Amino acid sequence: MSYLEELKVKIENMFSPEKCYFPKENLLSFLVSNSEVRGALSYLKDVEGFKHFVMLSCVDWLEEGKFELVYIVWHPEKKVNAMVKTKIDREKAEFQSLHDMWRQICTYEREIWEMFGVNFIGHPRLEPFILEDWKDMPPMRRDFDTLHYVNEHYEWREGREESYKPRDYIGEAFDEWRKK
Amino acid sequence: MCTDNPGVWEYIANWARKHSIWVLAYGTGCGAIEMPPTMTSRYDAERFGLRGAATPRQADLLIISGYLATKTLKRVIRTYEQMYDPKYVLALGSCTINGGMYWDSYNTIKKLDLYIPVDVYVAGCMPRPEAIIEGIIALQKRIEEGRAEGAKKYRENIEWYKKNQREVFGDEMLPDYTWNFEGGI
Amino acid sequence: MSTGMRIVDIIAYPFIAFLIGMLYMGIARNIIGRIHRRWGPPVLQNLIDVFKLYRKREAGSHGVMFHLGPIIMVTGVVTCLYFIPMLSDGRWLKGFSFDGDLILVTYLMVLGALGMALGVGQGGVPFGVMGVTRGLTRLIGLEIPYFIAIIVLMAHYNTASINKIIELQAGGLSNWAMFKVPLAFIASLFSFWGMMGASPFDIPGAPQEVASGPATEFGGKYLALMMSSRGIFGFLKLTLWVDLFMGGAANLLILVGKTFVLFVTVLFVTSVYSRFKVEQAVDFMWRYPTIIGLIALVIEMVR
Repeated sequence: MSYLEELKVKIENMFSPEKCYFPKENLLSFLVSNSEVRGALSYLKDVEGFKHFVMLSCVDWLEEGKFELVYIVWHPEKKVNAMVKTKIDREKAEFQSLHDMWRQICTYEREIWEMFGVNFIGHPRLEPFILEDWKDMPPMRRDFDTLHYVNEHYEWREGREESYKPRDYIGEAFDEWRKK
Repeated sequence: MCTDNPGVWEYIANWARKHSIWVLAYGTGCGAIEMPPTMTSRYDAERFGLRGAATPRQADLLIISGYLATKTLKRVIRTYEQMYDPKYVLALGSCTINGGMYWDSYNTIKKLDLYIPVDVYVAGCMPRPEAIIEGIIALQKRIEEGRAEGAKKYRENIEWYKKNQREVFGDEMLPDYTWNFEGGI
Repeated sequence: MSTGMRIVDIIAYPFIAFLIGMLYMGIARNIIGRIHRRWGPPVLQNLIDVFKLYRKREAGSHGVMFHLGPIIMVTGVVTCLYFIPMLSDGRWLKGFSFDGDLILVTYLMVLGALGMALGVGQGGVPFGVMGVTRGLTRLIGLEIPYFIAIIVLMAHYNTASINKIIELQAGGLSNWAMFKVPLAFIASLFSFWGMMGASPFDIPGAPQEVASGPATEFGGKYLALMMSSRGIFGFLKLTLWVDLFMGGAANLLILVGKTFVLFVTVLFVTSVYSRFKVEQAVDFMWRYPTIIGLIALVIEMVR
């Protein structure tokens, strides 16, 4: 039994993960409730030795009405990753800030606040980061219509719409290739 | 020496400008990586008199190499306004012409010539160094004929350019002191 | 010689230095291009650049001192040039040489850097201030071996006049000061490479590091003035070293030949070495060339 399989058993005993599986070799992924995130990350960091924080990402599940926050950590000695996920409500997008565990979470949370509009409670510096002077809804949300926004704000150069469409061409070529 | 009406001096000056273009390469997108091969031994743009300039004050040509986000555009305009009068703009790639592959992106501009006067566009995604050199030769032809008067065009149509810029930037407009020399620096 | 010819001679003095200096800079760019295995720019490229810069229609100024800085620089360089005799035949291009001009020249050579520092100070660009600080720090390093070499020379020939030194070197290769006092020549050569901006000592300008150093905020005609003064200053230093150590020149052809040989040594150094840090440059200058110069001084005292 490898280290990650042992870890999976421990996690299943300690927390109540919904989906606990291996998306690929040396990566363990599990979904926990909101209140268990800090506990799970603390356990991975302090007890198991996942010292390095890789990234924090956000996934927009529009149909479910949820945002999924994904925390990825890395074990430098065992050379394995662990992925802690949690789902928060999309309408009232709020979550606790975890910047006290790893300093670099600050920057990730600031970006997610800007791009998805998730409010991190207790974050020291929630202010515009990449976008300057942005007034619309956060642009990485899936219900943000980029084409509509572009039509409203920018001017098209004439002739663009008559040009040939690469998607059609690639489609035909792909079909021909499939027939062979 | 009068600089307004073209004469022999202006003809000689245009010849010198044509053979001595100092480049400020603004590496925004993938075109930044096409600039080093253009300048180094394989394509050697220095034989046309091209030379890298360290600051906008010394530069003649602003090369915009790739897509421009609205945030980057603000810096480009400030850089352009800080350059001194005979100044040219060379825009690379389809991104600057019509948005290119970022045609439906919410934060990249689609037409560069709405915001600053562009002398030469080089099409391609991304144009190779040969194409860049073609563009520079086209620019040299324009300079020799005295048609590369981007700075004059910008000064005369400043309201139109500023209106277009305001549409993109909204309240956070650029400061005036980079282009308005009336009150002295 | 008639008075009219004398006036023409005096007026032509800085222009000859300017033309030859700019040509040398163009040749340098071309040769470095060839070392990179490319064609390189034409030889006249630097003259075209300067002409274009003079014909720029705008040039922003930041005040009176910013305006005067490049002018002081050119003035200092041209004044210094007039005290260095280009030719030693006593008729043409002899400048305003007098007894003790060697001491005056060492003072005037700093005036260009001083003018630049004053102008940059009013520009207020951090890169420019950084470049000036680095330049003046480097000057502390460069001047020690240079002054020691000059003291050795003055002690050897028992005069402080450049014309006298040239006269005393006459009569064949073995009479040149570079063979009479070889250690002093070697020590001064390091300072010479540094003053010419050769690569291990090019810390004030420092491309890719501090934009273009002191020239960062200068554009248009101001940059043209600075480039012209750099060309004149380059030829000035070449002439001074030819006068002091290589027996001077009887006509323009010999002058060009001797200065070109010296200039090629600068190019060799530039193409081979990479840049020192500021403290490394000063450290190097205070160690090896200074020790060589001091040994030369001791030998001179004992002799």
